[in-house]
Amino acid sequence: MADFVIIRSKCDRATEYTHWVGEGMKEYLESKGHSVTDLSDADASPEKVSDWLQYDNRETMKAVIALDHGSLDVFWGEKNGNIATVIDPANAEDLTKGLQVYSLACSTNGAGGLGETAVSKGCYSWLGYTEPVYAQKSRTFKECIWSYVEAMAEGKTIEQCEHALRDAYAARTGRSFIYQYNLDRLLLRKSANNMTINSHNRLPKEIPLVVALWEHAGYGGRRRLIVEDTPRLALQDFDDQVSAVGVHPGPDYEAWKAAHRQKEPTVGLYEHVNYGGAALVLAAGGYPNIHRVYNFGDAVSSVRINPAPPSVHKIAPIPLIVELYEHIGFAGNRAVILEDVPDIPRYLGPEFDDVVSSIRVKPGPDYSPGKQAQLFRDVGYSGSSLRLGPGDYPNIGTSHGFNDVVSSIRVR
Amino acid sequence: MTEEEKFLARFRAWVEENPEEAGVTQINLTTQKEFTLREILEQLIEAETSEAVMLDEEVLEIKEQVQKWIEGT
Repeated sequence: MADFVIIRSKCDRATEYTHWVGEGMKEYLESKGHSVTDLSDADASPEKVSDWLQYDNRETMKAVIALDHGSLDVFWGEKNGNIATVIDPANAEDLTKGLQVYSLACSTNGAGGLGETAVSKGCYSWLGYTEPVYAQKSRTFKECIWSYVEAMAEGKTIEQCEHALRDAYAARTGRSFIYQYNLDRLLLRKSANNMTINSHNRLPKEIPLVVALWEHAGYGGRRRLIVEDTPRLALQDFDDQVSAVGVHPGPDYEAWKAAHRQKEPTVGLYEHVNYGGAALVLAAGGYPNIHRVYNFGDAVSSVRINPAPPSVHKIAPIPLIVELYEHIGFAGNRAVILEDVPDIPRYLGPEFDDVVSSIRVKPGPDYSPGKQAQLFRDVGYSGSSLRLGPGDYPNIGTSHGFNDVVSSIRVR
Repeated sequence: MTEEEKFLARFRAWVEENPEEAGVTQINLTTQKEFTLREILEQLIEAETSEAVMLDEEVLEIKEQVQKWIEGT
């Protein structure tokens, strides 16, 4: 099943017509089992369209239905109530690569125009018009335009979809000149033959999990299916609305486990966008009410599949473990050093400034014979130094003339 | 009967035979010109019968398309 994106601004008389053509389309496509994002009116902004179509971070099966203003070089959306560029030659590759696009907009498929550019840069197909087009607010017109969408939703080839639309136009030419006019200016640009939205579309690299987010506890209300990292659930109109979660093994579940030493794939649900704030990490299973137990209901704003473990500074290797003591005989304040420290008072606090009187040096997990700790009189590994291999040094003043002077240390 | 008169006669006949379709509002998405075919017919007749009436460019463009269409039907 594909993930349809409908783009339809509503900022002037013309877009009132195209916006109306898209009314009910989301519900229709969802009834056919597809997932649909309807970027309607102010949501048809350059930012939201870009975010949804960005190639790198949002690879998923997509088909684009663009109902809006167009010109030779630009497909327009809406910003602050005015038309605004959303797809142009500069971002065409990033936004349309690997997609099937139908554009009910003027002129985008003219010679050397946006459709041609997009297909040359990896867009699978662009069905659009070579010149300005006409529209009607009539059931007849709407059904005509929908014929392409219906054929696409049924998995027909792009050529069959195009023929469906051409046939629909041809069947209506007696009703107004606009049908023949639009038909004469309809053009399909494509990169290959016999593609469908199922066979040729953006695909996730792997789907170890399918995450069902539910609006209500007990798996009720609206639902969103997630198979990829989703930095902003608001774009799917689902911000802070998750109450139940089903984490289902995806088609690549076993393959993913085999590639990761049988580790279970997980999904991270995050309090804030871009995977920020508190996180709830879940493995495959049913979670009918995340308000209870997890106290995470109506709080999810982003989702990440197989989140990395919390970022921590890893100290490795550890060839030596050095214990520093304030007094002789391993007495007084004690500090354990596992890594090079260029400024001991800064690292350990002023109570360790020029106070070390006894030391223990132990082999660490990465010890190799001959390895020695090097203690320096001054910060920044400067001044005179003392090298000590593994062993106990109860009084480095009497044994090495180095009492109360250590300011930096190397242990690697 | 001139070619123009023949066209208007055919267009008028179509409007009379298709009153519902003739009343549907349509729009050119680029110019945002809204019209019904009945309105276009009325403007063409008015321009034909009164030399004082000038048709604007958008109506002339629509007329050209209607002419091609009527002749093809």
